[in-house]
Amino acid sequence: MKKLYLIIMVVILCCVSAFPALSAVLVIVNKNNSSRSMDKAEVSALYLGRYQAFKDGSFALPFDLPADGEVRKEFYEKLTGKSVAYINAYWARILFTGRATPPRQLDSDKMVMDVVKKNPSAIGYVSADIKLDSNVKVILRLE
Amino acid sequence: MNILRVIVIFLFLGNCFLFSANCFATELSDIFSVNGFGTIGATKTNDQDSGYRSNISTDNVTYEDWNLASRSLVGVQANANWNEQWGSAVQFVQQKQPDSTFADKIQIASVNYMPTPEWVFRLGRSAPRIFMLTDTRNVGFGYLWTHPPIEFYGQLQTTYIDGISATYTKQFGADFLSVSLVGGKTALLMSYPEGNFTADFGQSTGLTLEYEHDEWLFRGTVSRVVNQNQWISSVREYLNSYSTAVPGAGVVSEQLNTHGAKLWFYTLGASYNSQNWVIQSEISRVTATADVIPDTASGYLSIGRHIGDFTPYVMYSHIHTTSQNDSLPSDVTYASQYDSQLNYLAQTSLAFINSRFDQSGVAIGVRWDINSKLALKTQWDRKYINAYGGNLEWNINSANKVTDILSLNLDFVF
Repeated sequence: MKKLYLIIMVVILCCVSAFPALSAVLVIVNKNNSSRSMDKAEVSALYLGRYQAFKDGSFALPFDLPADGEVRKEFYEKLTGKSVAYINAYWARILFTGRATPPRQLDSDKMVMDVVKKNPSAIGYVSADIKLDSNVKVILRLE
Repeated sequence: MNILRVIVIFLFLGNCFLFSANCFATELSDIFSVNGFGTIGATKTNDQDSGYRSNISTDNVTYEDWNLASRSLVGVQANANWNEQWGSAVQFVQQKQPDSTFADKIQIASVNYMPTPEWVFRLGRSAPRIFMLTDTRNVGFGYLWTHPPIEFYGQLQTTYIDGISATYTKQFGADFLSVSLVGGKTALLMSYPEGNFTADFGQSTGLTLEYEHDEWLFRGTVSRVVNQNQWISSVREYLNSYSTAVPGAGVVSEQLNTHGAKLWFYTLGASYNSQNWVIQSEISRVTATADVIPDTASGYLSIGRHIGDFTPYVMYSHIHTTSQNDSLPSDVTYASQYDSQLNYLAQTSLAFINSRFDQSGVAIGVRWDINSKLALKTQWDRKYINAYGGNLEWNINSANKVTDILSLNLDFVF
């Protein structure tokens, strides 16, 4: 029985899988934000709680999309190169050390855009398929 | 009740009051959040004699029958971000533990101050960062396995520190370097069939250096604690009563002395997390100035493969005691032949002084992320325990042995 268990686990471990990528994801900030562009590392730092400010030193307030949503999955995989399962576990670890709290989750792309257009400290991400408000600007496009 | 404990309870109750008061504030969710975590776990072994447990602080022992309490716990944490610079958190964890008080169940009660994005100061009770998972080992959802490797995480481990910490983080392009310094006091319960011993680590300091580059994380930690109590005071008192007639008894008593003992923890860890692979390894060296506290070397390597929502993994872990066994002074050995009480004291002392951790483990398992808040895991462990080296277990065997452990966990966050 244990040998069978061992064999099954080794076979699964050695399997290779591939997942097709979906549409692009846009990282947006308020149009009055001094940042003109950000690279993956800078956005990743904000969304993984490693660093809490924009380039100019002002505090940043990142917003997230629903945990099980496809856009969120695409965003983290394109941004960090890590699986969304890893990101969920990562935030469970960080949150419960009391050191940082994860980005606040909003229900939809539209809600993210509404918050970002009102708050100069906010940063969010939306699907490239939606129409952008004139009060937000794209600082990173994740293909 | 010492002053630090009073401060921790004050912070806990103060935070609870502030959280309650803010329930009526507008934009409540901007400031305040409540989250939790838990594990419903079941464990069994094929051993009816030794008894498996997850660490030396617990008497929650598993034999051949399924034990539903071995890993099961629930934790609730309230967080508040009062503004960009100030925040606070309290965490309460309920699990089966010996001799635990309300204060012991509070794992976090801290106020965080971030004067700049680079600096974070924390005051109150927080989790130490001795090993990579020390500060989150209760959060099963946060790690891959059903339980952290006991050969590494089962030894001397504290779950909280009451004090202050400062962390500085610097970003270099895509890389991050952070330095943390913590100081305070903590305590550690050690549970054995003969009774429980509490270590009073009155002076605890730690320095952690962390470097992150893409999928890689490297961490080095040096921690030092000074023990401020006697773990085995009654045996020492009896031995001292013999020391005039049998001078060697005084020598043995001194070997059991733990007051003022300094313990050093040196740890190096690395992890690699990509879309496909999750690999983690740590090595550690623990040294102590007291003869009764064994010096140890330990480490583990875990390799997992993300396949959709499933992550199968394998792991190897090992611990061994590096200090040599001591023998009794000749006058004690001689006198013990004619005095049964001294003989009992001498043999008990020798068992303490020569307590050893000598075992290895291999494990294989799989984690299934059912959704973003729920994970199901199963793991099979095989432990190779050397004679007299099973101090991580409940009962110590005098011969080499092999034990199998099967675990099933449902880990969740909310």
